[in-house]
Amino acid sequence: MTPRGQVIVAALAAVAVPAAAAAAPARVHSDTHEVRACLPLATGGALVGTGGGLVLVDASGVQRAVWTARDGLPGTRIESIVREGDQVWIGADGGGARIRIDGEALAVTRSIAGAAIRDLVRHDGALYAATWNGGVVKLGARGKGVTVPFKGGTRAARGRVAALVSSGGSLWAGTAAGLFQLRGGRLEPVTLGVAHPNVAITSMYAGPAAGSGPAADRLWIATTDGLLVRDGDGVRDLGGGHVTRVTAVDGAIVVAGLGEGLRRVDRGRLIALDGAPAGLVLAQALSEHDGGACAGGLDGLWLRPGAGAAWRAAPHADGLLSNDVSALAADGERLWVGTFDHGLAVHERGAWRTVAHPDLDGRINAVLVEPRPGKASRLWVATAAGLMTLDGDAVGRLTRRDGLPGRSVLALTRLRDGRIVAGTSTGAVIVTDARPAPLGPPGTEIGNVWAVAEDVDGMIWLGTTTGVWRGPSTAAVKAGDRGTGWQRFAVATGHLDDDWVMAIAARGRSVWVGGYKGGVVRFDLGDAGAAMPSTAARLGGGWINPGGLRWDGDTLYASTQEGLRSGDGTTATWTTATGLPGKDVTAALRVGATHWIATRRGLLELPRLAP
Amino acid sequence: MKSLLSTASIRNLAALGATATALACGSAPTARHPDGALAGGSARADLPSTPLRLPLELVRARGVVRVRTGADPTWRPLTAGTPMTAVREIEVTRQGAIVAIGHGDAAGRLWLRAGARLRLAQDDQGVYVEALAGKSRLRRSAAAIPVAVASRDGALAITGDVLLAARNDGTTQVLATGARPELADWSLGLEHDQDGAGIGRLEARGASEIGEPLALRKVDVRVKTAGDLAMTEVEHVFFNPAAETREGTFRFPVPDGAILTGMAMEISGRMMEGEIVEREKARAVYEKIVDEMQDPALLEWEQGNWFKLRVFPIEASSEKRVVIRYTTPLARDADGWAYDFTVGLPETGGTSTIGALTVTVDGKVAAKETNVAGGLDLSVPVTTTVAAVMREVRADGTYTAVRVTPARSLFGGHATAGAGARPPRRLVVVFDTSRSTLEGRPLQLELLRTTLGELGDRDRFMVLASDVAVVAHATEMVAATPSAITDAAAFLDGIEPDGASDVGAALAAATRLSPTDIIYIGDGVPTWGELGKAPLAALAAAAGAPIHAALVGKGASTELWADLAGHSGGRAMMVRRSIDAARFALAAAHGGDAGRIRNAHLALDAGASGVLYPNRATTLWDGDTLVAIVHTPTGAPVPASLTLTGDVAGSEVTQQVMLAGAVDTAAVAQRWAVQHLAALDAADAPREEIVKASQDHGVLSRHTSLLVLESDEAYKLHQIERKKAEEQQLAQAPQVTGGDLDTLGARQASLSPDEIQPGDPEIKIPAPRDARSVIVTFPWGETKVAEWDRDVDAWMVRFLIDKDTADGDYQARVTVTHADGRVEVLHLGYTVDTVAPAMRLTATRTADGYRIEARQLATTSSRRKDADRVEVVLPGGEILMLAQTSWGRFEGLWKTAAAAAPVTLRVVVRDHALNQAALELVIGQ
Repeated sequence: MTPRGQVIVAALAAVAVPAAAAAAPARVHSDTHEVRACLPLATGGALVGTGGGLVLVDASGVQRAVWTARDGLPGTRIESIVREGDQVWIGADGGGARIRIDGEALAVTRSIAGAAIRDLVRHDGALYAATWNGGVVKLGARGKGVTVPFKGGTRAARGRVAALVSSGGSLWAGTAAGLFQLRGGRLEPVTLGVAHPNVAITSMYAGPAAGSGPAADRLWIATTDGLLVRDGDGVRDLGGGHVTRVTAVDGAIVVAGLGEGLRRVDRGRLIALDGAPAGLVLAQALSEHDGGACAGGLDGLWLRPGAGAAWRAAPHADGLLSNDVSALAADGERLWVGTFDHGLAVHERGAWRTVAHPDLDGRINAVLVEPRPGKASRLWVATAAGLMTLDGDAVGRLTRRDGLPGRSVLALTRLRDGRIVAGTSTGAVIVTDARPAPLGPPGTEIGNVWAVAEDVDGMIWLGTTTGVWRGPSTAAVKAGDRGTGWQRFAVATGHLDDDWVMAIAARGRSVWVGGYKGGVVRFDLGDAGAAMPSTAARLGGGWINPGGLRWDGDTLYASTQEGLRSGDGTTATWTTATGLPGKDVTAALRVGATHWIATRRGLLELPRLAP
Repeated sequence: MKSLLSTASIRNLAALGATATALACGSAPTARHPDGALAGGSARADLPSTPLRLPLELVRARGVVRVRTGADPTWRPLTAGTPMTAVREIEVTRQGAIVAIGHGDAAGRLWLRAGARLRLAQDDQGVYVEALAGKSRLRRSAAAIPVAVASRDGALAITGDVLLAARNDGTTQVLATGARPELADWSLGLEHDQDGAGIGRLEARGASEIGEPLALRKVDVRVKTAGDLAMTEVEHVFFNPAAETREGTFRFPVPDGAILTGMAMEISGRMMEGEIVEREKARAVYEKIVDEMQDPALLEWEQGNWFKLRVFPIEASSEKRVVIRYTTPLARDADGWAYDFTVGLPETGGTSTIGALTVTVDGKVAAKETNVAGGLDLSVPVTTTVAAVMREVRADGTYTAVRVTPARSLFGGHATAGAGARPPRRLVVVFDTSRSTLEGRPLQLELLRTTLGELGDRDRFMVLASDVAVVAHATEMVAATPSAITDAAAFLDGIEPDGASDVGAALAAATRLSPTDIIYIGDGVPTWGELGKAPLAALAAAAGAPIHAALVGKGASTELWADLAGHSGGRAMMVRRSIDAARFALAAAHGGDAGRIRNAHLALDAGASGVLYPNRATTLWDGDTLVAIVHTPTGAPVPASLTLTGDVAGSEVTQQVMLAGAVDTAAVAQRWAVQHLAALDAADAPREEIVKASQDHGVLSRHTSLLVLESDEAYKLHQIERKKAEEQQLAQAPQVTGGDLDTLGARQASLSPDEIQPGDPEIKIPAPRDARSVIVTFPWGETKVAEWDRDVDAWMVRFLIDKDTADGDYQARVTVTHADGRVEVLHLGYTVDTVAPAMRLTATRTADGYRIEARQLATTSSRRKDADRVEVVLPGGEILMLAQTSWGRFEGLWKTAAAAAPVTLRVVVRDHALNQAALELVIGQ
């Protein structure tokens, strides 16, 4: 369990980064604002599935605990929460788990790794799981279960199952390919007749609404294009746009939708739900139990403690701007955190502060701290809409209008002489006194520049989609000069296994180059002035993320799509970290004694470790 | 209404060219808006309760015309050949119509634009017209039964030709047609055959060589406004029903005043953006590749405002998409700004229906129809804010546009000439009969008849046939009667076009006749006698009359006559079609009635740098707005103001125009470039300079064409710079772009649907900025809220394609909630592709080496041949980059002696999604 605002001790199995982590306190920072599922509890609180973990909130909506993959859950993004008897199952992006909550403690009593689980239902004595891209799985007492065969529908679409219902003696599966019914041990398509070809089922509920007359086998089917109701073989389309959830609340059929919040069915129409949370527009979650109810979505969480009570918005918990962290940079004890599409934040003295400015684009690719003697550091932020600088409260912005060759800035480095080199979506620039000038092999289109670095001899390296280029000495590159003597290393030259270069790290007389799926390659420079060798050493390491190579002491860290790996930089032996909130690691950085590991599912803080 | 013929003072009606008399209603004084609206009074003029006694006759109808008669509340169709009496209301929808008030235009003639609704009445004093909705035009000759335009507070008795527009506040805007002839274009169009305005046509030929128009399944017109401009994109989807591949010719009519800015064509399922290329080079490239590769396309001017494009191949039983883009000024409406769009399906030839037509203006659907036949005339109000000063900053400097409206005070009393009939005219027509006018003679004669036909009964005229000699058609000025006009035309028809053109002699002859106006009809190029511009200007000035020039023929030039007209207070127009002739006639015959600034010039402040257009004398009428544009080079300060100078009735007038408060607006540079290109052309600037300006600004010139090739590689192969690469990215909606996709550098692989590896692509959604929300739901169940990106002027959202995502086709759902609450759903397909291309490699011995060919093999994992780069590592390490010759085909020449022993070459291939494979090619076995 990771109570917010506290530091707890947790076990790390086979954690390699850092070596002493097993005994270290750690904390996962995550954004829990987006509600994807919820379950009201008898306490008046709720269990809430968010994009940043499973959250326990009390009756006031205050978060009491946040659990992530680090706490043994099969994933950090929680897709579903289902009460099954006296137990609770959760579906996450990495599988499902049966859990037990005792006070504020979580116990995982069973975990099934695999495809994301979106729904669970007991039917005919067996438990079935709706998986995303894995079809319907019949779970036994152990193991991963057995996939139920399908008949009809395209393989990809029918494998994306969002909802299961047991009704009228049948099991019904709502998929991206429509409705299926379990017959003779396999799932067969059921014609709905009214749906658009692109419509996918998102949620289902079985049972009549109060006052709507007996219809024991009535199915309410939420789809991306409206609500359907199936009575016997007849299907009616109630419309309503993108409906994400359908369930019964106080005996009425209520739906959650994107753009319309909560509505209820009234005589075959969707109408406003009396007292519905006004701020909930992009609704994805809705659940009711014994009068208590919860609802939420991209706008946050709302709770209703009992039937007839008013909906109340849960307070927004401070934390990460987004779980999808794309860049880290340290300035003393201050940690700058750039996110994939939710802007920039700074973590300092245990608190988060959002950096908001109209000129600062929220899609951040890289962050660089430029120390300045006698002055506060300046921050350079590479974004999808240009290169920003943050100098105190002043925000500067360089775009194509100012000479950047590409709109998106992908990589940054600071040369020893203080100039900044930026890689963009169409070439690189060297920035002198806030004026960018093109850099790179003249007359050659090098494509995206995902990595930039300077080696020990002062030579510039550009990691591109056409391989890695080693350029002239930085001292030789003057304003307005692209530089000459560029040398290309690529698949064609035999140096790389993938021309899409994502990261470069220089140390001593070697340079390590990481490819999108080509692993890490080490270039040994030899003596100063010597020609580059005709080969480079393949070290493996997997799918390297942008800016994903970093030396810390004698350890080379590789942030990959398959986890954080560490090695010595000379051999192809890597150790993969576990206990991370997400396996897709985008950055790793040490600030003082604290290690920070950024993933697309949150940020892990490993404090008080020896360097 | 008490009296039709009571009088009141009229302010500014002369500015309207008003041959109109204001009439008081009841005892309320008549208040008027400066631009001629009848407005402001508290009392409403009550029309007589009696409907029109005269029969209402349909002269011509494109749209649906309905009337209400007597006390009958129902609408009934008004059809040709069946005049109706007792009409009290008329309306026209879809397209316009022309009706006669009374047999033989007894009380005048009405032109009604689509959407117009008029109330009609008649009593013993005459006929009354009240505009209830839309736009119309009314013409009444002096001899006809009196007609008055009624509005809230009074009525105007009309003599002559006026434009009426119903305002939202219930008043009516009344403008003299001659003062603003461009506003009457829609009515002039009604008088000519519909030749297919607004949309293109594709005529296809198969083995039989017999051409036929292809069905137009769909037309999407997407319009985005910026300042006082509209950027229009017309996407056509044609269908070839034949079981054979055919070739065809696409033709498109560019609207008057439009700047053609781009085109794109679907090639192998991918929209390829055209590039502006020097005309001769474009032609050479086109000719070179047309037999080797599929799908080059060259858009060239054909005639008039028509452009044509050869299209090949048009696959059997398949669709073909062609996109045309252009920029036009917004129309100034009575209540604001409007976007005008006319679809006119050709009355002969061409496709007769459009399967589905959608017109979207700033994200709002203005029209959505299926099985459109005939046509549609739209005038869509635009809620744009048009700044007085607009600016576009580019790498080469700042372009500043300013809307210059001369202050009314500049016109002094000359803007308020007395009401009632104007003094008789003495018109001299200089008719060029030199050899160079041979081809343009029919249009010249049409101009003559149309212009003289606009004169009043008291006006007189003289025609001077002008070549090396000047011959008058009569011994003295004659009255502008129909027979006199016929005689004049016959006189000219009898003169064989021959000899040179002595413009100086003609001007001197005209001056001797003491004319009130001089009309010139010819190609405008002096070739005999006095050729100097200054002496000719002096001769023109000596005439002391406004000169209106209609320039006709292939070699026509405004170079001389624009100045002569501008100095004298007249107009010069290029006339290419009948509709142009009608517009000229209106302006020339009626424009002289209004107050105006002659010899109007704009100048930069002393010491300011920049290139300003317009940079020559012009005439500004009261109510005109001129758009001046200045280009200031990077580093130079933008001027703070401009100065307008001119001459009103012999007195110099001056107005300072401030450039402060500029608002960033698109296409300012393009507007400047249009005038710059014209200036370069007029100055006989070097061809290279014109081509460069054309390409730099993305505006076609006489020396450039739009060329579409089948792939980015083909452009590269022919050394054509991809200036439109960004448009290529932005053209489709929504689209996947950025990140991993645009990669791809110059290749700009970011097309939709695209083949992409897992990574971080972006989606661009061109929803309007004021949309309430744009939400994207991804196939794995994640929902993201798009953000407005001011740089790309669209909504953007990034997403992650997880590494474990299986190859295949996926779809994201985009939900746009518009400002008015309307919800629009779009589906975006994309393909994840992680499989490297499979290639077959061959090497063939040639005289000086080996020709190496790589051909992509079809695989089940690849929907199309998407390889885009093949590198061959030669012995010694140098790399030979094979050139792409078509989809999936590459070739190159390795210059070497014959291999004595087998040589193994390493070959690296890559596809659009950056999947790579390393292969080996053994040579010399």
